[in-house]
Amino acid sequence: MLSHLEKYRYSRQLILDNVKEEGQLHLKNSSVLVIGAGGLGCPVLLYLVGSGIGRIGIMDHDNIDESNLHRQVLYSTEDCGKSKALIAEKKLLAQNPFVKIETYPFKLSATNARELFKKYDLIVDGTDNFSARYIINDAAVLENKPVVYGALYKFEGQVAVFNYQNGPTYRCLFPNPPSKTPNCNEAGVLGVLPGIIGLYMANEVLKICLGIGKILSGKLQLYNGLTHELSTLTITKNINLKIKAMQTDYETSGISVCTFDNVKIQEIDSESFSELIKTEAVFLDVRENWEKPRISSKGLLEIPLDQLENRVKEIPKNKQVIVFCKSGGRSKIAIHLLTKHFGFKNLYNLKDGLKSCLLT
Amino acid sequence: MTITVLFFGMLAEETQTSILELNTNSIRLSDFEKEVLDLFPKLKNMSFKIAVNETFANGEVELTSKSKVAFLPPFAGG
Repeated sequence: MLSHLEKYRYSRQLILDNVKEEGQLHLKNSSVLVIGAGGLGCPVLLYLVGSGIGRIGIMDHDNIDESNLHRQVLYSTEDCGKSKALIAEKKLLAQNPFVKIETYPFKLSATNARELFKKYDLIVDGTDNFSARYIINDAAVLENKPVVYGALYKFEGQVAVFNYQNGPTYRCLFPNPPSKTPNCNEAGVLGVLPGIIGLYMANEVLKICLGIGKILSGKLQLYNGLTHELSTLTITKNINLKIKAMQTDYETSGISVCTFDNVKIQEIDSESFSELIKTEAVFLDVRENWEKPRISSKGLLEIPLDQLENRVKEIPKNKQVIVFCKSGGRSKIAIHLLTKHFGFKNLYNLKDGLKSCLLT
Repeated sequence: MTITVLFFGMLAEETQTSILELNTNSIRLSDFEKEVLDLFPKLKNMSFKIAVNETFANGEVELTSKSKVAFLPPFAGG
């Protein structure tokens, strides 16, 4: 039942023929898990909470950073350093006390996803990395939950509803994560784009919960913010694709991110290193010249850490540069220096250094 | 015949165009894809899916002079 206060709050929505009191009750009885409370998650959450979805889970392990604020509209300057999930909860409860909010301020993983998904009717994928997207896909298929998906690249966005009433899934479109080549540099995004894409996503969530309209299932909608072009591509279900269990490892990109003295550093593992050394990537050895073993590669630069500042011009800015030392410590310092003081954005640290490669 | 080719996301950046017209004798999509990759070798190391006339397609699909072939990479950002 809806209370008088609820009926009044939602009155402009209730008077719609397709909604009415019955539809509003559907929303109230629905539960949605929003994974990622960032650029996409913020607008999705604001509008789902505004519309009166009864129970909303917010999952995000990250803290608010000032560089998030231009697009992550739930957060204020004073919130920097605090948990996204917990601050989002506080703001959203102030927005609409009739909604129940549940928070998960930790990372989605192959081991926790299924248990969590069981508790919700629908999953919203507002994450920012492939590993999470594939975890979401597989857990949603196994738990039979629809996924409202959104993803961004610079001025372009993608929206789709996957696994809806046995429809195509993300893996029907992209069966496996992209190859190991490090290509997930922070691409940059205009603040409004996640807002636009996030609202397309929220619209799909509401339509699914209300049982109205045409759902973006079996379709991938593309939006280009620069040209206004909106295209809808048809995805067919791959009936040969069977997901029977979660995979043990979703970190297939071989890339992870760590923070070192407030600078985000991208790291690659030894396996990717061994593969990349055969390619055209540039390698920067910051060990002393006497340290052994020496590495031979076409694109090798040997600049000991203490000479780095004087020889910075030798390091290209337009190619992927993998920085390494013996155990990964000096290379982090080198990346920190080059990122913070010389504006490099193309650097990758070899995690745990050369010794991790020699052991394997 | 002339085929319209569309590139999205980082593919458009690599090819420095989002739309172009290509003359080809290839009928099968897989042959046409090879031509495109020879023209833009950098795409060989990138992930993408191809749609013909707004439907994602496999290499067996046959092209006609009215075909629109779109190259779409996965996006991760959020």
